[in-house]
Amino acid sequence: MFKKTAIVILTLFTAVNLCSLFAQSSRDNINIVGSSTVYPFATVVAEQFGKTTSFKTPKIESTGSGGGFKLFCAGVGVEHPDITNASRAIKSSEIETCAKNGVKEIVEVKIGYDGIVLANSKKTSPMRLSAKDVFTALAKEVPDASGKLVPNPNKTWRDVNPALPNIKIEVLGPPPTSGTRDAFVELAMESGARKYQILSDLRSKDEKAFTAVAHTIREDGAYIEAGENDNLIVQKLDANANALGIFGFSFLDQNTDKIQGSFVDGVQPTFDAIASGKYPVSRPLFFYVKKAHVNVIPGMKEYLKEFSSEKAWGAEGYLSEKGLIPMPDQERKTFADNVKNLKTISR
Amino acid sequence: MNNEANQPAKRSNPGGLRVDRENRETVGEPFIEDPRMTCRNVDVFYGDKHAIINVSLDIGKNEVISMIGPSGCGKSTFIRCLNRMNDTIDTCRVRGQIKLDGRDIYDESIDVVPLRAQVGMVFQKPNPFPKSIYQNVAYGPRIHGLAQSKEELDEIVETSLRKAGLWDEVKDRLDQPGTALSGGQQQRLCIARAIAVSPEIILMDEPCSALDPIATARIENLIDELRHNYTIAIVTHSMQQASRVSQRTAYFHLGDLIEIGPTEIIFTNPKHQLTEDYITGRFG
Amino acid sequence: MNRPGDAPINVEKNPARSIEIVNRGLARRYAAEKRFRFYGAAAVGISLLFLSLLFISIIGKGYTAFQQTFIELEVYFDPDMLDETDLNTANYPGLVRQSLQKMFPDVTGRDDRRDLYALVSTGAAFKLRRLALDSPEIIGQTRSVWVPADDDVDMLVKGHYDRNRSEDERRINDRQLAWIDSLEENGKIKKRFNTAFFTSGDSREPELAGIRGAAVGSFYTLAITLLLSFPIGVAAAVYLEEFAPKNRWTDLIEVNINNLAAVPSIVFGLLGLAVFINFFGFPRSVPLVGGLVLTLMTLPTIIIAGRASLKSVPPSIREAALGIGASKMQMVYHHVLPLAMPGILTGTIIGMAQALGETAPLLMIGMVAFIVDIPGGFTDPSTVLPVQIFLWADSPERAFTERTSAAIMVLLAFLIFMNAAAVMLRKKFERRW
Repeated sequence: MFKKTAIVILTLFTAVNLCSLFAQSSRDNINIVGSSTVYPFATVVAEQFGKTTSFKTPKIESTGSGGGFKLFCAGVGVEHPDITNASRAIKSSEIETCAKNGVKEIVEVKIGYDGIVLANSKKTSPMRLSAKDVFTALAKEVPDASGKLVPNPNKTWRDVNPALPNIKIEVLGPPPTSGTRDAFVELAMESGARKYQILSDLRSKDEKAFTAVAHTIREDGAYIEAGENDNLIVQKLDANANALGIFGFSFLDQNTDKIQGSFVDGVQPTFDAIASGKYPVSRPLFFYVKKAHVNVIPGMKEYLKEFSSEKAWGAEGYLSEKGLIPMPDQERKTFADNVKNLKTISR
Repeated sequence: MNNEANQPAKRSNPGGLRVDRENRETVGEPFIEDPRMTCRNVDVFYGDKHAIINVSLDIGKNEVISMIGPSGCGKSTFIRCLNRMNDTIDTCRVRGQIKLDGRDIYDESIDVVPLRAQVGMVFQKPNPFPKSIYQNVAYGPRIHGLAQSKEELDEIVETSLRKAGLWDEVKDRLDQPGTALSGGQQQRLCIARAIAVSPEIILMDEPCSALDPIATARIENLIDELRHNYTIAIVTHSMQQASRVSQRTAYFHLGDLIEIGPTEIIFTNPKHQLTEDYITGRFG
Repeated sequence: MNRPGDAPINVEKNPARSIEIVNRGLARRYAAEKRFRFYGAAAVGISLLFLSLLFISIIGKGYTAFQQTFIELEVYFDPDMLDETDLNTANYPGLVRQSLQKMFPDVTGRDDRRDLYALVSTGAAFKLRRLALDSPEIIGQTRSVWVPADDDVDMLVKGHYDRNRSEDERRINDRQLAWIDSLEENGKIKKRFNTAFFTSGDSREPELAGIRGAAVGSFYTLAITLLLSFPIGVAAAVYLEEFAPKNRWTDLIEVNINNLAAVPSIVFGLLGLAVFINFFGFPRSVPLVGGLVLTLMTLPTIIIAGRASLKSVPPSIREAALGIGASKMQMVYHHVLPLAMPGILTGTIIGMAQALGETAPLLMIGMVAFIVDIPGGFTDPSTVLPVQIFLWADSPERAFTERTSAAIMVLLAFLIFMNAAAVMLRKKFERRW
């Protein structure tokens, strides 16, 4: 019996080693990693691509933008991913890491925009907020009347702005690891902070100090970290009419019967408002392609073509049905050309 | 060394139950002519505990020797030294010399596997394997390769069961589990299992303590029959049993071998005060 | 006796009085027992309540996922649109649109048509493609084909959308509502058993998504786990329990094994990433690596269960075997191990059930991924059931909610099956000595 076990283990390990040799010498499916925000869009393209061509369906991991770049920049070769999705542009430090590991040629493709919405239950009326209100309600420290920074004293929305209803501030949002949170802080909080003269002055003097104030969300319970699962936030909003939630536009789009987007600076997050750039809290979404892999992994070119086709990311393409806000026509054309010519990022 | 065989007079024991360790000498006749097993100056330790103290005795051919004594006196420990069952206890150390047919069984060159085939053992609690009656008996011959064919194995099983006086009761249900038998039958099955590997010596560690009087009587008769072919060392709590089945009796007390001699002498005319106290029921 | 001075003495001496004392205390003792029983029953009751709440909510949410709305289309396999030389990439969506157009000829205008086309799933085109590829002779014929409806239509038909809300509050507009009603009147829309849920891999379209890919991935992963962890775990348990000397080193190993059993599973994922993927260079997202990682996680469970059940084999059996001259190895493999096997198997099944429900360590090795193709081997990218549940729970489409619950039901069914098997094994092979 013992002998048998030993033999089984030995054969298994041999088999395992052989398998890994085969698996590593080539790969016939595209490997994609990266942002969880881009994930719902990339997967649709991948599925469409897999079902309408003879290539295998690409494998897409949702690792977050930062995690995606880390894997993507680890090197060239079949064991490294071919494409990474990102809900922000690549940082120069990441380009450097890439270059250090031999990933010198990267093609940047913008795929469209995502709006970050503040939403509440349809059972009450929509909130009408300004960026300044958002900052005043959610920052850890806000300037008081004399211009000194004090811990956020605001308990209700009325404390923030007398025009707002007298309900407790309760905002469900993503945790710090999320790209949505980064974008929200950058787009909504920061522009709100700048409305304070004193903070605006601080920004021109000491940008770091300003960012520290503008980007820090309060931790006294008014902002509730609700995890990465946006569906959960939607459910909680449905149950608690006084709460506000922060998430990507596609979740609002899918749940219009339950929740409504709050006005930010007078604009409600609708498809058109985000597409036209009127809605202030929106961000571009990207994917990055390892040029060295394009002719090595079968189907890369075709996948890129599928993604950059009008039927996918166009104004009426299937991605817009999933909640992606398309780029303006001219921008789309530019990026489609970039994809075609595999135009790499110049450092 | 206490090789003076005969102690003339009964010793007094001023310290009550305590034994004068410095000067203790075994009373009676520990040694015989032409022994099968000889034990000399055997000490057994469980960790720091000195469980058997300087015991020397002989076990003769085709005799039944019984070991008696109060609980915890070391008689079971001693008998387990005779086929090295104590090896399984990590903390147990054995010192001294135990020889089987002139060979030291604790010698490095001795393999315990054939030793245990030669010196079989029956335990206090009947412990048949949870397998069929047939498999219980056949297991030993099978692992030792004693049977060349199925027929031979069948024959060994049958003779062993016959010798153990169990054949007539179980011959029609050999494939039933051994654990389903009654207590007395289980113990006879265990004896059959021990016999099946044709040992020369059988050690029995209180074989009847878990049985009722009728089953006990059967086992005692069996032991008497087996004596013609085997040498048997039996540990027992029952003095009646010792007197019924054995030719020689050894009395152990707190790890010491106090007295040893022909059974009728031990029970009728013990020389040592402690032995007398025990067999007359004054303690123990 | 009546004199007061006597009383205290008599209390001590009178046996009848001590019975009284016992009787007086009796009520309190029984009350304590009753209270304890009540607490026990209440604890069991509360856990049963929560369990049934869990089941009710999951089944209540998920049972509808086993049905899927289909729409019947009269499809004319137009030879003009289907080039026989290239059936693979022909314009099947066009065929679907043509058929819909024929059913509602009065729908004109770009927006209206878009709304109409949105009634059927993109899977309809895939279905027509398969039909044409399987039997090219249908080109030029008209066939009636049941195609899956879009997930929004599905949700409406199943009653998850409230049709009484105002138009801008639902994802089905008034025109579409009217079309669906007319289809329903003509019997061209129907709920059927959702076979796709069991036969297809993941999809971003809820109506096309299935758990087969994840189930197969779970199977391959668990196969590796079982194949490795069972022999290694049993061998380790046997060695530690039966052969290893008891000293400080084995104590240290025991402490470490017990410790490993309590280590958060994500740590094993990190270990797997570092060792199997970064060091050995195994590919990401494959059942092979998943199985290896889960082996690491399951091993302590199996070793601990194995040692406990080896320990529970009575020493009398060991003595019996040794007493007739079995070697230690024979004692272990002929007697102790078979007797300990039910316990070891129970531990193994519980370990495997744990492994089946695990997602965290697989996150690190890339098995939390969108994978459509059903894996065909140990080195094909794949995901596992709990990961599929996690991914669906995080998808924005409403129709994924019921599919999530349905997938949970499938996973629970597997777990119940495995744990029941563990109980059965224990019952069946329980030994009396």
